[in-house]
Amino acid sequence: MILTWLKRLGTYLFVLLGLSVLIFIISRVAPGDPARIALGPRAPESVVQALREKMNLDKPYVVQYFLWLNDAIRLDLGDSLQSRRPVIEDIKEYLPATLEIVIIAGIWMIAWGLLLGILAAKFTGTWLDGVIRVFSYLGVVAPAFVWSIILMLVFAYVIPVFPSSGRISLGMAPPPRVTGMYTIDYLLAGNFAGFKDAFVHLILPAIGLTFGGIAQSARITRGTMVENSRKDYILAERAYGIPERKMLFKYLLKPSLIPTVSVTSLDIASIFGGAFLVEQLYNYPGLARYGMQAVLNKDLNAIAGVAMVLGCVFMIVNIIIDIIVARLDPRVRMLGGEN
Amino acid sequence: MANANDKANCQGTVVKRDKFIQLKRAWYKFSLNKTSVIGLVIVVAVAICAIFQPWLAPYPHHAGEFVDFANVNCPPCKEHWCGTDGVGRDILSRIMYAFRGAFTLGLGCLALVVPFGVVMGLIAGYHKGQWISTFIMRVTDVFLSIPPLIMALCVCAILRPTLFNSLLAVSVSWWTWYCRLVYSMTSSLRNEMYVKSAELTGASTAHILFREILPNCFGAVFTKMTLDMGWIILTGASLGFVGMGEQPPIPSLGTMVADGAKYIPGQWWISICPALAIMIIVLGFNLLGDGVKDMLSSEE
Repeated sequence: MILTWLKRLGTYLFVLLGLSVLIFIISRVAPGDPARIALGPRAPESVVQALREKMNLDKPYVVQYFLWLNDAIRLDLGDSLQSRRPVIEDIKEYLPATLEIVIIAGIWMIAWGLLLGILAAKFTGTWLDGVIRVFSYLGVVAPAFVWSIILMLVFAYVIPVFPSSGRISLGMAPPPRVTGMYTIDYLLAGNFAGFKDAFVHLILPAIGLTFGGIAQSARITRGTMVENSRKDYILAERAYGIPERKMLFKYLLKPSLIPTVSVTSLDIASIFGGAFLVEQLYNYPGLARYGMQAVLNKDLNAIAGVAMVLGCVFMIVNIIIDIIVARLDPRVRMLGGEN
Repeated sequence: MANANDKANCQGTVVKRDKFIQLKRAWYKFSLNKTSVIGLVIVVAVAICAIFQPWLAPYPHHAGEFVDFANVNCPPCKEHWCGTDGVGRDILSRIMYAFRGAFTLGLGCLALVVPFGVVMGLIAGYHKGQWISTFIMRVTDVFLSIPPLIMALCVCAILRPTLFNSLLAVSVSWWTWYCRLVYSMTSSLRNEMYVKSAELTGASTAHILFREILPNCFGAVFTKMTLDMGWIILTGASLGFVGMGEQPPIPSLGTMVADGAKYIPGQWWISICPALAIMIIVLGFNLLGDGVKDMLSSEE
């Protein structure tokens, strides 16, 4: 068991290292001279040459990679071209805002995905099943930004109940920084009006990100539950007279959750990806919007930093999901699973 | 039915007739589910719109550079079913032209990722337990260690924004899905009797991979390709939304949605109509893909 997890830890480390190689390649094969881009076209050649040497651009790629990795491990990701600050400072400022959205979106997605999936499985073949099926088609056929535009149009303009941009209303003072997540910081400061304001700003962007995930997990939960309910052990339990509700939640739901939980990893990936567009749309100052700006401005240090940090965050998510799957599935717990 | 059989007999060879009957049976199974037929109809209709845009669109020349200030921001009406945009171009005509880009992206991306991913998956699956297999599968993990859309954006960032480059950017992490799919199939298929007997008769690895194992993966790969067309178009639209796809004045669905988003809520149709177009095309491929899946799985 410990050996299995050690082995898996090795895999995680390898993947992280591989990701760093990949990001390094992407940020260095970029056409154009990073030193020249940083200083602008008017800078004299001697200054550019000096910066090139300072950035180690004159050394072979392999050496460059290890120097870059060495800096990256010490959280020195270079300076951002747009903000003229160390990238790591920018990330510290913007990451909590994105985490806030992703966490709320994740909870919303799992709750509704499971609920709809269970309902559809329990009422297979009824009109409710049909409605949920239509919803799950609609959910997956539009990208997050389309849902966000529709939500914005309906709930910020037609029925103006939610704000359409920013993290807090104009004129609100941001809370004293503790975690960087405004909702939590307001709560810690005891400012409930502030908490409500920050939370209301999160709702539309967070929900816009979840349609695809809800649809996906509802579909998978329904499929596995229907399949499992035809198995012999359920028939045996029904013959023993175990109450229907206990059977549904204890014996049917638990094994049926495994595929849903496994696929949650992909859904969270799409939430992160979608956040790049949705934060832009809602003018929400998070890491994803920062990354998007970096992509648009070809700010390579910032892109590499954001990609690396999101890679780490996503890996933590995957580790949590692996642990949950192992808790649910004795086969994975004992044998370490397939790959 | 009898007519069809006669026709098949006329062609002379039994093989041909068998093929024809097989096709007919497949179509029958496919058409049992009405939703998959709807999917097929949507996909064919969209393809026809894309190919014959110059003849079918109400204002074909509106797809390029064109201004008509007399009809700026006209809401959906009889002359302009989806309204016009900020410089008076007919949105329906532009959507129809944008379908071309969407199809090019989907087909081009599949053409790149399917052969590569499948070959990698075959190699990794057949050599499961050896270092080469572990290496290939860990590399797929690396490519999936950041969300695919973010990977595509990073690749886009260093390339000039064109349709071909966005196609490349989507492909960078997309091959891994085919690799994983074929890997899991191959690693179980390699224990089948016919593979063992091919090994015993001294067949080359290439023969075993491509002639014995690969044909058995076709069904699953084909199903995934149909479904993926929709997902790739979706991802491409996301890239277009941030200006990384086809460049103006050539219309692309994502770019049109992004441009229109500035005019919300006043001129809602400028972004909602292309958004609906994205939904329709992806829905078509989804329904079609599910139909293909049902058809192939009931055959076994």
